[in-house]
Order: sequence, then structure tokens, then C-alpha cells
Amino acid sequence: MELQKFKYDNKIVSMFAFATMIWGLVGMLVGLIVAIQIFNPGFLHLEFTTFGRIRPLHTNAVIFAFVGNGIFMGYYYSIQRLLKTRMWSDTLSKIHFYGWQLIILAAALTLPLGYTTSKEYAELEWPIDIAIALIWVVFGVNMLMTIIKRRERHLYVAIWFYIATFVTVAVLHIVNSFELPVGLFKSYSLYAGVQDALVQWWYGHNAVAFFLTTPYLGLMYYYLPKAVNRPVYSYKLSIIHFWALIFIYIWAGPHHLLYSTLPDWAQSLGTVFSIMLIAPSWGGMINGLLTLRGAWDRVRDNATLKFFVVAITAYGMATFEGPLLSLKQINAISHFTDWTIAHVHIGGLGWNGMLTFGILYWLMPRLYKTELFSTKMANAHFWIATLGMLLYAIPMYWAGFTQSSMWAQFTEAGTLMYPEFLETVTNLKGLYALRALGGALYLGGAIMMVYNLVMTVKKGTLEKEEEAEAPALVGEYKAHKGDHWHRWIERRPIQLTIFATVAILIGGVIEMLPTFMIESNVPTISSVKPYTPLELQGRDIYIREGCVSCHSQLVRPFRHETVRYKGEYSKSGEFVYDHPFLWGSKRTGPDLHRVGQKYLHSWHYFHMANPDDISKGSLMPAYPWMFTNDLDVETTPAKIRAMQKLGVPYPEGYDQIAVEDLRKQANEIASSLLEDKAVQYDFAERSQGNLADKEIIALIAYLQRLGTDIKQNNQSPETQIKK
Amino acid sequence: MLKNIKFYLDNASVDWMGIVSLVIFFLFFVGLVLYVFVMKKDQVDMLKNIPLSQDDTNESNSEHYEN
Repeated sequence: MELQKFKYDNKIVSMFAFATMIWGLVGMLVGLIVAIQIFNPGFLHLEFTTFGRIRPLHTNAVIFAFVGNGIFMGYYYSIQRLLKTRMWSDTLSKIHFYGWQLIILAAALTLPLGYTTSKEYAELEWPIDIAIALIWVVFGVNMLMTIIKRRERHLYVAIWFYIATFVTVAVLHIVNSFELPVGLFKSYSLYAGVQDALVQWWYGHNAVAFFLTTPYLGLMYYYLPKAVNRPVYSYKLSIIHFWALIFIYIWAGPHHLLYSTLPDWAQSLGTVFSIMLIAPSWGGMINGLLTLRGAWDRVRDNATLKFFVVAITAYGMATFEGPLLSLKQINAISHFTDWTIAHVHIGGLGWNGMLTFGILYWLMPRLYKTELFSTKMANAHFWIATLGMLLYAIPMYWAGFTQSSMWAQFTEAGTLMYPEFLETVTNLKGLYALRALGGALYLGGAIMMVYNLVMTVKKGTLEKEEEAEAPALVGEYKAHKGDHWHRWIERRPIQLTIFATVAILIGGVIEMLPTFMIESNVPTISSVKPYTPLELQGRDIYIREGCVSCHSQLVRPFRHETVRYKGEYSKSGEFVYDHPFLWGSKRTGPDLHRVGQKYLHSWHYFHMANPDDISKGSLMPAYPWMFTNDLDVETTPAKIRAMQKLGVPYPEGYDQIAVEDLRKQANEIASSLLEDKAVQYDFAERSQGNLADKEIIALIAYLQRLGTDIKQNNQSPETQIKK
Repeated sequence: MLKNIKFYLDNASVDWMGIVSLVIFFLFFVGLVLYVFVMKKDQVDMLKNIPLSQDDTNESNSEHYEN
């Protein structure tokens, strides 16, 4: 058969490789900064660099910039070779590359400025969401068209993982990003309360599944056999791994909402499918490790293989731990603590980080037709990264167990052993410092790698267009006797895409529809009323500052929580006007759902001005700009109208008088505050103008409202200011 | 935990959902396992060697790139 000559596009692979290296360093550096801020809140303390604003910058940078570019680097190299063809369109490849980098830049600018939806790993505001969808489609079209015009009849299992990733991420991103814009960089989620939580964690969990796992499994199935120069241990196992994984993963989201107000049947469904996930995940891990059978001697002096081994092992550990954490009894201990942080970093630093490093060490010398600058340095990087990862994770596990135990401990007299939440955090400072050291080591290793690879690139030359040849794929495939349906689907990318889409839709639909369609799943409470305009503005400041990064708003039905937070556990009906929900996922500070009316206005005033003055040793940063910034009231009518469109029952025409109401409430709070001489003196010192016009007043209004709708006989503030 | 599941399945009119999900998953998984068991060895070998069967020049001297 006649061989066709063509050229692989290596330039695009190299571009994504550099992007993943640069953004990797940026994302890890921001991670190190937030790790230091958590035990030293004064570190780099500017309005735009507070923990609440740059923690999402860290997560977005490492997920979408470091891992994202890593995925595309791995894809563009392997797709062309697995399909024996050049990418379908060089132009689309370039649009994809530059578009993705622009999105990352937009994220790096908007998140510190406080433009955020507050939904984890989906913080970017609506114009950027649209850009992500468009660029994702550009990538998908280019990939699918390349598959269609391929020269290799059968689609290797890595390609299935790539296809499933494309389809599922598109579905997740679109469904979770339904939001109503109220300005250029502000929107409200279309969903509220428990429904918003369900959609968000269906997204959040599957972002882990389909952005951090399936694409990297695809990469594992390609790069591991290449690096070790032998085929995958069991191709049959890889087929089961693929279908079982994509089918089961999508159901597991509700395990992030155990003991929340989500209907119990949905929580149980999440738990059951999470347990089932062990099977395909470990199937994949075993398949990866057994691919190295007979080649373990090469691991000793081959840095790429070392990174792969640790990556696959970390994948196994994280996917064993994940199901354990979704057991209600264990989740009761781990949730809202640093245990979760340890868990995700075993996945992030171990699985994604190590696999990316391994691929980079394998790929760059090949792209640049030279040898690696320093094998010794690569091996040193491996040990530093492994040590860094352990030094990161172990203190976090310790911190998680410690804090959870301290929360739940009662004295013999039946009172909380550690009634001050602060005690349970300050106790962890040393562990937080160790974690930062672990992170610094890991970053140090990555810097060594970038240096090593830059030196490698300098001594080589990029083979931008790599010559290749393969016979054309012509004519109809003649089925052999005894061929099976799966063999049929392996030749048909479109059908495979449709099958994969159906597999991932079933779980999401069965979980979400009942919560949206059946009213009994979200019981309403008649005393729950919409936020006042001032409270709504205060809530938006709470969102802007990323308070949700450290404070949950969900009192779980445990005795130690209802005693600690002095109120009932949270009910679904309390959140029906919360667009978006703000339950959070981590308690570095206490839960705030029952904080309303607990303290005096002046307590909040001084606490926001300098938390350390009120709670000695507090790890919360100060927010002095809220005392000088005037509240932007002009946005109020548009926000009220948006809420009305979302079904929040403000009276018709309320947008017209909302500002008047807002000012009235602000004046009441400000004059009550100014009765206190200490406030008068402090405000005169730190700001100018009218206290009622400042952002702090809106925030206090919101905090004082929290959780009070179902509090009986609105109790008076019981804690007096200690100053 | 089982008691809770039963309570909610009985009271929330969603019992059919649990059963449907179980049936779908069970059938799918059984079908999948049956399929891989009857796959022919030559098919499997051909498929698993796709990444290694490339004729690009890099692969012929992979030892050169050992690191």
C-alpha cells in the first residue's frame, strides 16, 4: 500500500510544554504564599493579595494553567502519533493555545480584584466562562476532526480518555456556569441553596474526575508504555477501567455534601458510587504498575520512570482514600478540616505533578533532538519533590485529625472541651509552617526542573515539523467473523463520543432531576425572607473577599456543632434565596451560619478592622479597605431585578425603592455603632466621610442577618466586646 | 445507614431511581466484563501495541534518550 508522507506539528507541543512549566511555577508560588498567610496573616497583606482572593488564584492556576497546559502538551504530541496524522488545523491549534493563555491571564487579573462567583474551581466570572466554553470547543473540534481524518483505523484507549474528557468537561462547565449577569464582572448563579450546592459539587467532583484524572489516565496509557518501551500490561483491563470509571465517577459528587441539607437519598447515592469507584481506579493503578513488570531495574536510574511510579502510586492512594472519606462516619471527622487538603494534594502533587514532570523529562529531549542537560539534577528533583510532598501531606493529616478531635471533644460535665474555635486553629500553626516548608521544597524541585529543561532546549534544536509516513486509511473496513460490538465502536469516534456522553449523563440526571423537580426534596420555611438590599450588598462583599475560603455556613447535625454554634443545625429551606450558596468546604475559621445577632455591631466593626484586637492570636487578615471604600449602591436596583428574575419574591417595583431602604438600614447600623465612643474615635482615625456609606456597614448587616430567620425570639447579642 | 436509606426510599417517592441506577450499572458492567473475556488475543495484541508501532525516527533509538 502506498505510504503517505506528512509532518507532525511539534511546535504546538513545545508551546504547551513551556506554558505548563511557567504556569506551574506561578501556581505553586501562589500556593506557597497562601500557605504562609494561613499561619502569618500579615504576609503580603494587601487588598488584592489577601488569602481569600488569592487562594482561588492558586487552585485555578494549578488546575487549569499547570495541569491544563500539561494535558494539552501531552494530547498534541500523542494524538498525532496515535492517529498517524497531523492535527487537523494549525490555526485552531494556535487559537486554542493563545486563547487558553489569555483566559489564564484574565483569571490572574480578575481573581485578585475580587471578581469571583465563589463557586470552587468555577470562580471565574461570566465573560471568562463564555471564553472558556468557546476555546474548549475549538480544542474539541480540532481533536475530533483529527480523529476523523486519521490513518490508524483503531482508536487506542488513550484516545477514548481524551474524548470522554472533552465531552464531560464541556457538559460540566456549561451546566455549572448558568448564571445571570448583573454587570460586566458580576453574576448570580441560576441555582440557589441546596440545588446550587448539588450542581456545584457535581461539577467540583467531576472537575477532579475529568480534568485531573481521565486526561491524565489517557496520558499514562500512552507515555508509560512509551517510556518503558513495552505495551500496557492488560488492554482488557484498560477497557473495563475506562467504561467503569467514566460511568461511576459522575455519580459521586454528593459525597462532598454529607451531613448537609441535601436529601439523604442523594447523599447515600454519592457514598455508594464512591465506594464502587475503588474498583476501576485500582484497576487502572494496577495496570500502570504492572506495565513496569520486568523493567523495574530501569526505574533505578531513569528519572521519568521514577516520577511515573510515584504518580501512579499516589493515584492509587488518593483513589483509595477518596472512597473512605465518602463514608459518613469518616467524613464526619475529615470534612471541613485539613484532612481534605492533604487528600487533594496527594492527588495534585503526586498524581498530576509527578506525571507532568515525568512526561516533560521524556518529551523535551525528544522534541529538541538532544539529551537531557542533567540526569543527576532530574533524579535530585525526584527526591526533593517526593520529600516535599510528604512534608506537605503528613502535617496536614495531623492537623485534620487534631482539629476535628478538638471540635468534638466534651468535658465530663457535658460542655465543650475547646469552646473557643480559635484554640483549635492556633494549635495548628506549627503544622501549617511545616506544610509551607513541604510546598517550598516541591516548588524548589520544579524550579530545578525548569532550569534543567531550559538548558536542554538551549543545546538542542526544536524539530518543528517532524517527518512521518503511514499508509492512507481507505475503503470500508471488512469486519472479521466473530468481531464484537466494542471492536465496532473502536473504529467509530462519533459513536464512541455519543456512548461516552450517555454514560456520563445518566448519573448527573438521576441525581439532579429529583432535587429540582420534587418539591419535598427542598422543604421551604415560611419565616425565611429574602435579604434586604443592604444585606445583599454585604453578601456580595463577603463573596468578593473570598470569606467562603475559610468560613463555612453549614451547621451539621452533630451535638458538638449545635452546641458550639448555639443554634439549630442548618435546614435546606434556609438557603432558598442564596444565589450562590456559600456553604464552603473548609473551616480555618468558625462556621458563620448562626453568627447573626450573636455579637454586637461594634464587635464586628473592630474584628474586621483588626481581628487580632478582638481574638488574640487570630489567623484572619484585617480588612481596613472596607472602612475607606464607599459601598457602590448604584448596582442595587440591577441586583434586585436579577434576584427577582431568579425567583426571589421581592415586591414588584422594589428595585426603585431598594436604595432608599438600603440607606435607611445603613444609617441605623451606623448610628448604633457611633454611639460607641471607641468606634467614633477609631473611624475618625482610619477614614473620612460618613460611616453609613462604607462597605463595612453592608458586611455587618449581612453577618447580623445570617441564620436568624429561624432563630426563636431573636436573642440579644450575648457576647460583649472585649476591647 | 441502611435504615436511613430505607426510610428515605420509602418516603420520598424516589425508590425507582435507586433500582434504575442499580439495574443500569449492573447490566452495563456485566456486559462489559463478558465482552473483554471473549476478546481475541490477536485483537488485544494489535490494540495494545498501537503506541509502540510507530515508525517515527525518535523511536528507533530510544536508548539515546535514556534519562
